[in-house]
Amino acid sequence: MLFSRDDVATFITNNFEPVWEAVRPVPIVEIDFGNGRKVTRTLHGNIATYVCDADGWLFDVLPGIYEPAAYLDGLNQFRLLHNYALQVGGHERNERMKAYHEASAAALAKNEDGPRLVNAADLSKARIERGLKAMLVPAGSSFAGKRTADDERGGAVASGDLAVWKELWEDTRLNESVRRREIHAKLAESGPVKPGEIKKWLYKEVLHADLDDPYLGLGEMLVGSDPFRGEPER
Amino acid sequence: MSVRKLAMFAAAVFIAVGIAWGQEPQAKDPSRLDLRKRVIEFPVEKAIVGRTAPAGENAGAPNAAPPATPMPGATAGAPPAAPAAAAPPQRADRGKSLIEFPVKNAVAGRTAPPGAEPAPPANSPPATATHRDNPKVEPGKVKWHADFAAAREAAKESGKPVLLFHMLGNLDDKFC
Repeated sequence: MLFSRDDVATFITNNFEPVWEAVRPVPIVEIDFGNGRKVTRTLHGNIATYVCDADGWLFDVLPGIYEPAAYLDGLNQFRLLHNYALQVGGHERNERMKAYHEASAAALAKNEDGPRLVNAADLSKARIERGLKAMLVPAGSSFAGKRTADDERGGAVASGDLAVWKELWEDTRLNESVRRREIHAKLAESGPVKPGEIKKWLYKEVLHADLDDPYLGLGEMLVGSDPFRGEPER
Repeated sequence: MSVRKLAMFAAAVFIAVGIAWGQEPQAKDPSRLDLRKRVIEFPVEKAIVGRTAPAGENAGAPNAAPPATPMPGATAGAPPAAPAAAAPPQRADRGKSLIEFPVKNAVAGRTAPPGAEPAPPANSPPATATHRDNPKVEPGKVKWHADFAAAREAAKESGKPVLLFHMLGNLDDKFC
């Protein structure tokens, strides 16, 4: 669990005002082996991490489960994005966010890395208030740096279970490519929104879990060929 | 003990054994009290106990067994008179169930019934609880706000962004 890691928990507590919400009860899969033994698991992956300002306006979303280093990198980008957005106000802020999402969606559509946010305070000798002044730089810029996830990839393999880590890494890659491209395109098109306004879209179109469907969109696959599907549930 | 008392004692034992042999052949559920035997033996027991010394006087005798630890098989058929003499005067025969239940439980706890599955190895996944048993757990090490509104209020004070984590289920449930 990501939030049980000291590095993740400390980073979140130090840099954000964190809150969690349940969007619906979790689906639980129970396999009864018929000999008194049962295995119970939940369906993972249908999570989303939003970054907002104090008025609740949404800036960006990390969809699904991430490998810890990539998640920390995403959270650090969120911290900088919040600072980058709040440097200006009103219409200019909206335009700035629209440009950020459009540039990110366009880059991911071409299988390229999107623009990166860096802390200009690290690059300047001048003292900057709170030590943070974010700026957006193209992915190829010398200031953009390298993604933390790539740097820490070897350590994660060495310290964890390889099979589990590979699945997590594949999820992370899918989140950072296909899913985030869809989110950037949506936020560029929609303009300023709050999490509650895109929650159902995000779960249905990006995470493929329809919150309005009692079977989360899995009903046809699970019981589509069942001759008794029209009968009342037991 | 006088010769007369000894003769009465022997006669009582003889009668009890004879009747018990004639009426005991049916197999019985060992977990039930053997009431019939008690009906027969109790008057004899009373007669014997009433004519022998109290338990305290026999404390040092070699066959003075404590009543709480009867020997296996002691109740098969009519008992000989000597152990009854060493028992407390209140009740010499403590019943089969006192002997058989502990043994039955001990055996049942160490063997599997016929046709039962063998025990799983220690490193196999445990049979987990169902969704009806979903205990609360610590939601990680993050200091979470109670709700979105509280987080926004805190953000106004601190200047930090709000981090909202959406999920299916509850972060503080074991299965989430």
